[in-house]
Amino acid sequence: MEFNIWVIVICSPLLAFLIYQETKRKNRHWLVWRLVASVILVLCLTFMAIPITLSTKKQQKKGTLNLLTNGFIKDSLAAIKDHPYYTDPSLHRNLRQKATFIPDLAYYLLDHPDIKKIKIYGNGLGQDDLRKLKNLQLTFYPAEKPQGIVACNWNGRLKEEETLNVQGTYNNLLSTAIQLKLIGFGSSLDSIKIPAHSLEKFDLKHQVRQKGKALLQLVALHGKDTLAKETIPVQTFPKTPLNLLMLTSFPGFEYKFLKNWLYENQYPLALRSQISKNKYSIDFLNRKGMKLDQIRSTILEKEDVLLLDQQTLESLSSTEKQAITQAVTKGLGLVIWADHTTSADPLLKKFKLNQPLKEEKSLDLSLFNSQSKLSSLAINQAIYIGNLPDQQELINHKQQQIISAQQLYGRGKIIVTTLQSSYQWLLSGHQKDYASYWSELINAAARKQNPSLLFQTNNAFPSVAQQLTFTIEMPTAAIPTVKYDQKHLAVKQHLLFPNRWQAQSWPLSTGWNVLNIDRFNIDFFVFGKEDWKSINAIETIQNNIKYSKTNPTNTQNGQEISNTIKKELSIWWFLIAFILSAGFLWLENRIYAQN
Amino acid sequence: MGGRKYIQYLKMRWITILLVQGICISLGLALLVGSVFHYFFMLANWIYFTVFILSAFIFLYFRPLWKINETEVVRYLDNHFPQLEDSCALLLRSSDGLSVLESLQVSKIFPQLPKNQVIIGSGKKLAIGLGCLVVGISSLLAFYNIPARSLPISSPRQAKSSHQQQIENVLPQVANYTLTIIPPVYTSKVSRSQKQFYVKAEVGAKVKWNLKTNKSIGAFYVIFNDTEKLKLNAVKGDSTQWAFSRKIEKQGFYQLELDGVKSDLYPIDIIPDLPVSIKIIRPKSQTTIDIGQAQQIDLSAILTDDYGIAEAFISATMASGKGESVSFTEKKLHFNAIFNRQRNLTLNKHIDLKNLGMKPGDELYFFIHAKDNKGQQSRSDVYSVSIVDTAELMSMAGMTSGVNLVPEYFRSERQIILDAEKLLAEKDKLSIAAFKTRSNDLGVDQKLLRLRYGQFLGEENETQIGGDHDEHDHDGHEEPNQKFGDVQAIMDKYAHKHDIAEDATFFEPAIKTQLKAVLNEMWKAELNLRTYKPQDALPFAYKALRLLKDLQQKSRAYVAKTTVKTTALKAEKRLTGELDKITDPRQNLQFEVKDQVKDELRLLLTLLNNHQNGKPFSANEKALLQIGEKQVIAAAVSHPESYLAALKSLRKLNNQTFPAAKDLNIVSRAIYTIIGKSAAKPQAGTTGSNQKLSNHYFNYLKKY
Repeated sequence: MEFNIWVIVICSPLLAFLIYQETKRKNRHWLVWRLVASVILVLCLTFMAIPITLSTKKQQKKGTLNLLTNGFIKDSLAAIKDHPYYTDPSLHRNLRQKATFIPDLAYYLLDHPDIKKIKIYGNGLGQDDLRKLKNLQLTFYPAEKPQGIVACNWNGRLKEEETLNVQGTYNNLLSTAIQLKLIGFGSSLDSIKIPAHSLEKFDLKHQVRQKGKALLQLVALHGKDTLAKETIPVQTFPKTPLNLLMLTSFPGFEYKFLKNWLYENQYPLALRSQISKNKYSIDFLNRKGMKLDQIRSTILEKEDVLLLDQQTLESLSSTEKQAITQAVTKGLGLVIWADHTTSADPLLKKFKLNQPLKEEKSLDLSLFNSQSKLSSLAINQAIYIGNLPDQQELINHKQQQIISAQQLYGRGKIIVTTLQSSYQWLLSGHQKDYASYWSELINAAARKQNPSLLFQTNNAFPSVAQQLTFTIEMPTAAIPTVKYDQKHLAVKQHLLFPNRWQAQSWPLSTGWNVLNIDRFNIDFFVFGKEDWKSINAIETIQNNIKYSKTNPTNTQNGQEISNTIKKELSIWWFLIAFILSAGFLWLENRIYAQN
Repeated sequence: MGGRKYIQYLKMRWITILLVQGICISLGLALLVGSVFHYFFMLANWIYFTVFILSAFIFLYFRPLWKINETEVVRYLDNHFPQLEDSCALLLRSSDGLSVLESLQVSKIFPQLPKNQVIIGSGKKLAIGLGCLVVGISSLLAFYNIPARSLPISSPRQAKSSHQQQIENVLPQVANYTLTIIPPVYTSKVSRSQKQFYVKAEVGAKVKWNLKTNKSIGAFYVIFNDTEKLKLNAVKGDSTQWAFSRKIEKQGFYQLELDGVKSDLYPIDIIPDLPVSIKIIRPKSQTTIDIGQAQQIDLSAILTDDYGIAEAFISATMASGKGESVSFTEKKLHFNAIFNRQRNLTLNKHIDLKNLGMKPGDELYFFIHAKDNKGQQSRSDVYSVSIVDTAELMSMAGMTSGVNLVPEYFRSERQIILDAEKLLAEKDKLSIAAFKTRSNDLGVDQKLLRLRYGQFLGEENETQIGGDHDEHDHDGHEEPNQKFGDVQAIMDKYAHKHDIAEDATFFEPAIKTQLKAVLNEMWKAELNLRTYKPQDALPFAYKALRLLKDLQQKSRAYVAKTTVKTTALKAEKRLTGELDKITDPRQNLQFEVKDQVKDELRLLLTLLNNHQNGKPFSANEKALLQIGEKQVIAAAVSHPESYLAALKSLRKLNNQTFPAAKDLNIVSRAIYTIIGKSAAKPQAGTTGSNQKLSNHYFNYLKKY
């Protein structure tokens, strides 16, 4: 108010001075007009400083509130019959003259109890705002799917040397193709082209090379312009060693090469290989020795994978077999080299072993899960595995015949492979293929490790100053102590699972944040408000659609009421009037001064 | 007469002015265009000349100088000077031919002839010409003073040379420096000097550095590959002149250190000298000289080297004799070429095998040996030439034992050759008719032999070689009263019934093809015999015999006799199955990880990523940077072009308080590349934490 007074205090002497000057002037030509012009001049000056609001009455359907939110289409504004409102301050620039700002929706609704119906245009309201619309009918007119990354996910918590997969969908509305790049460590790690006018899925891969936390970047490039730049936080954890036990009925190249490969990769391995009747050659590599003359369940409890050849399996005593079957039920992985089609063993009988109809001179193997091809082997494969409904293929030949297959057995898995000479890869210099083949088999077989703790954020993209819910799974049902930012958080137990807990917080800083759960420190990444805009927009749209569906619209139309709306007069009008009057005064003086 | 002279003088002056103007304009234009083209498109000097000629022609077209004559001058004078009263033409006429009135007019206008400013605008014309010339010269000077612009990078060689134009950071203490690269003498390249620290030199080149500092330096070191530190001694007493030299054998990088201040890292690249590459165009790697062919070969080879070929010769080894009595003789054959350090040489050599002393049945192995002027030696693959031994073919050895599938036929072919040779020997004694009859008879024999061989391949008529069944005309076989649904009849359509199954599957496909080749040769021999040319038939007959011999050898395996000694068996231990004295072999091994370098580099990669926000490094982290530096240095020694920038940036990171994002990126990229891709390794998956429920679930699954 004070500012207005000051303006009036300055302007009124100015007006008085101007009028005085006019009346005192010798030239009396058009005096009245000049006086009028002077008054207009000063008034306009005043109103340019003090904005003038006009109250207008507008017919409006009773009880309907039109809310514009981010993402609404400007051209559709004219189609909205009633006066629109908006709550998002970031829309000030676009909607200053055209709509009315509501600073607090809840307060406004309390003030206007007659409002029964809300129409929302654009992306919709945030989760918190939606909660304020209880008992109101809501009609939602969603915005179009935004340009950019509309869905994205990745395996951000990896073991070392594992492959990071960034998958998602990109909505390209542009008329030219764009490039999506995964960037990190100063180099481009993977990239894909998204064609024009398309909703395209992408899958970017990168084998992690760092140890610990790192931030990668997902960048959308249009020529040289950067359309979007999003952060992909990744953290790696050390690998846990696998205990392997290998029993073979004779020493062979296949076993020897596998032994050496595992030894050089520092896996703890015990190998018992029969060399004569009741004579065994025993190796303990990267581990302590133990008694291996009898296979007992105590031995198998500590192992993750047991590798056997068919002869060994068939020659084991019934107690040993019993021990193995039980261990597999409890989670041990069993890998069997099958070398002939007929077997009396119940475990091996589950698999349908066939001889091939046609002999082939080379084997072109590929991994079933990743669809990656291995270099071909010049060997004659004697046995293939038939398809059975409860078995899954792991390795196949030409994507038809199965070489290795797996089957669930209790908590563990039985894996049968019929390839007897994978060492040929090593001999021909294809170390990578050998590694891929055995990694595939052992990965499938290995006993699943029990995590000490499972952690999850309920929101895929935790954002700063937004509510964030964590779900924590503990090995036992004991109450965990959860600390975040030096403060204890209250935890809530899950109704069905006693070891599952929930906690809530509001992250205050972007970047890596630490959560202490008992004695563990867990890192999670908090994004900025501007990150993942298109995904947030999609999420908001979906939330609003969901909300509007659960609150169905009432088709009854309320009667029209008149509403007084305050409208600010644009200062441009005053400026024009000011210039016109000043121009008149100057021109009049110019033309008639000489007369 | 003065009037005529005056006109002529005027004409000459006019022509001169135009000539000067024309030359000036053309020259100026030529210089301007030429210098511009030379600068932007690197065109040679001929552009100047071309432009000059072109513009001169254009000028002459518009100003035809040769057309200016006296009447032209007269017309000009009459037009421009009214006081001459249109009477100048009278001046050209001889005074005798003038009438009184005309001579009066001449005497009237003669004093009126203009003395100055006769040719209007002559000054302007000259000025235009001179202006053009000045513009041309100045453009020439201007463009020559600007250093030549490099062409856009198109080829890798140019890309490499662009490295030289990179701006190098030179220490402020260094006032002046020159590098002299003296290539080894054998390259016959002249020494060159450069004002650049980046060195690209031939292997074994000597590089001399001459440096002048702007103040006296106490300690001057040169550090090679970050490992070798050399202290320099000043050339002069005031410690401002420094010089050192070094022989460059390997690539790497170096650095100067002046009073403790280290310079940038400068890379050293080498131009390798490769040994002579030898490409033999003729003959083929294995040549067989058959009977009747000239016993000689023409050798042709292309030799190339970087700097020059010093020597080349053929090293030939002859193998003669058979079985245990094989003898080898080595010979060095020289080319009839002069080796004068040429870079490319095409060498030809005609080798007469008879002159070498080769007999039928001998084999010649040879390769080309070459030496470049550095002394590096290289040799080609080994090529072989063999002369077929006819005597060997005729021998009966090997036919008297073993499995003999087709012995009589071999004999027959041999017999045909013998008979043909006999016929040739007796040719003079025989009448023409008798000779022809005998030759024809031999041809018939050959035909019969061919047909008999043809049976092996399932041939049924004499025109075919190798019996191609698919061409059989089945239409003629159609049964008149074929019943509908007669399975046998339908099968007959597609099967060959006139073939004896045994014969058709007698040989392997490889043998069959060779048999076909035999038939082919026999066919040609028969042709020549039937046309009474037994001399021409002989090479084909020999070849057929040779191929047949090969066939015969193929069906045998030869195992040499050896002596074997086995250890004596203990009769009392045999078959007892006692193993109690044999202990189980046991092995306990722990794999030692020798270098933790990769793990440390992985940590460093994380560290660099975490400092992208500009956070300064702590002391512990700087220690890790030091480890990384060692690795980057090792990489930079072998590949200075890709890792030197990273090394510079890594040092910057070590010295600066706040790391720059650009340096972090460069170092990250280098370390990321050094770590490389790793092969897959087995790894266990994880389960959910709720054990009891999943246990129950999985065990329940087992029941089905």
